[in-house]
Amino acid sequence: MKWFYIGMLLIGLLLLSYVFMSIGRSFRIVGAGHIWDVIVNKNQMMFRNLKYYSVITGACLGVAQFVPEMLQKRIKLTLHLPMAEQRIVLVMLGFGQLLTLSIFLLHVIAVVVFSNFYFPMEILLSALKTLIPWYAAGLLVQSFVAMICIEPTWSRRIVNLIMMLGTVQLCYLSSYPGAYGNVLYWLLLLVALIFPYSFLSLYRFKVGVQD
Amino acid sequence: MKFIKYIVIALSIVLLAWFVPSVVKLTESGRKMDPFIYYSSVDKDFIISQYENNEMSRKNAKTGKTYNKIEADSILPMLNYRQLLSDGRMPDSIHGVSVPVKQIKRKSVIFKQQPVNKNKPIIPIYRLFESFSGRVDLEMSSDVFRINDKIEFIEPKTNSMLKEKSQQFMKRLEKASFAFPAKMAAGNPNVRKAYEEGYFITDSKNDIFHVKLVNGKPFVKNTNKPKGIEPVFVRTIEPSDRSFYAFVFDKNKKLYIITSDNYKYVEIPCPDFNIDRDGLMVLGNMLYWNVVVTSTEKKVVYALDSKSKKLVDQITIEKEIPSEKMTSYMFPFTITFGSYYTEFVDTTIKMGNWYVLFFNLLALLIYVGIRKLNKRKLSIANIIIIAITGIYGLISSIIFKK
Repeated sequence: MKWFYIGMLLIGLLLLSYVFMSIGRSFRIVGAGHIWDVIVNKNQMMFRNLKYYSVITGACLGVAQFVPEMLQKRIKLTLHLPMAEQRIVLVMLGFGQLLTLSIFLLHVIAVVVFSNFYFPMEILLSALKTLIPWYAAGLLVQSFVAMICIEPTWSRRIVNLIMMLGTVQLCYLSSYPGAYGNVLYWLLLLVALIFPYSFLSLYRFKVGVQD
Repeated sequence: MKFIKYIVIALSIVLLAWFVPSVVKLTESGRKMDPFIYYSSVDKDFIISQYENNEMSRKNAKTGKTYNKIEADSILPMLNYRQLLSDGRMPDSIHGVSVPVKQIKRKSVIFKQQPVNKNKPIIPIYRLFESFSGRVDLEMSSDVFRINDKIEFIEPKTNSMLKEKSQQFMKRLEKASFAFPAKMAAGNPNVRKAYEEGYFITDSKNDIFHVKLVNGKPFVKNTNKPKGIEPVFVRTIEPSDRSFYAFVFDKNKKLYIITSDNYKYVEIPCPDFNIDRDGLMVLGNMLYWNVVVTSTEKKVVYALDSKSKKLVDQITIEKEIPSEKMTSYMFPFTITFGSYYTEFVDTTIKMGNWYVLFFNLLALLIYVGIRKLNKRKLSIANIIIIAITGIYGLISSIIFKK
């Protein structure tokens, strides 16, 4: 998982650098005034290249963390550790989410620092309101991937996969900048509610549910 | 664990309530196109144009007389003056009123307002062009402003505040007794227009101020809005004849224009116009204004005298509401996360009608039957969920039975 994390972190930084350099180039060619105009009056999102990065990151880190556990059957050993099973999975999930969150927070900090130089607060706030649902999608994907990996039956894995696709779609309903302004708290609540879903898969794994 | 299981079921119910009805709706008939209705300055009646059996029909709303394309041009000269001019059929006057082509063009007004114009996220950064540059074309300004507790002009090049300009405008606003914080600013920051009249800004007391840049200096004037008008939304417009500045939408569902005659507020009759639900279109000409209010249930067109804005005639066309029988009968509720009325992502829950109870009961019986067949105990929680959520609860309970 370490190398996946480093890989996604590097890809994220490269992507951010590309985005910042593109914006900088646009500033030099057409001027900051025109860029502000396009953002404010033409509803363009400057950081739209980051749209699906979070989902890919969440999926990669989720797969990197849990697929080896299941394929190599390490999870069985892990569950025999002298600790409550739910607590073990909570620590594993929490660790994975923290790693993913650390990448997303780094992005947000980079966007805030960059925007502080080139954009007014109003444009930055609009950008953050547009970025947060995408990062929420990344965290959702990671929780669902954990749930799918731990799930012992293929039929329920498919159901979980369909639920993941439907739930993540909630974060991509509109690409209008700031469209999620009124429902951000609900999205974050959804991320928190989805987080312990893997316990259900763990329970089914433990009792030996089969197809 | 049960708590998590029921959260999973709740999420699946939400997703089913969103996805399944939207698929079923694809099988239902859609809306017919609305007819185009315009007031004839010749007939002094409404002319309804619509497609019937793949052909365009045009008829007088009162007499039912139909017109072909050539006849319709003459009946609606304000709309088809270019065709009439080209054919040499343009009259010099209509009912004794001279209609020179220059005046027809000058007096033409086209304005559209949809709920999304108001209900959308905005970035409160505004561009203020010079209103009196002496140039034919408008020039892009090099700065922008924000206005909340104070007004600040910012230069995008350096992302820094222009102190002097900000202070000048601040002084003028304070002198005009502008009560901060500002509520909204309405303007049209587009160089592709004939002229610039700045912004109409509403203060905390709901007074509307005209703010513009004239010869590099701030111009601020209170429009002295009459008492009783509570603006919820303002849209500016630049008509060729410069006769008015903006449309003001009032909390009491009234519509006004701010005229250039010392900011006189003139009411535009369109009763019960709901800015959050209805569409509005104004097609004005030198003789009459057609004010079209479109809702989901009907289309109402008001013909107003173009000078006095008094109501001359009106017509209401009831719309055929598309059948939503399947969705409202089968599903106890449907969830949508966006709508025609807003650019915001928002949750709308629409309840089904009473027939849904029958389908819910059916779903419950199916659940009981399946459980009995598999010789499993009935879960009271699942029974309650299915009784309330019907088919959604049934599908979720079957999928998450283990």
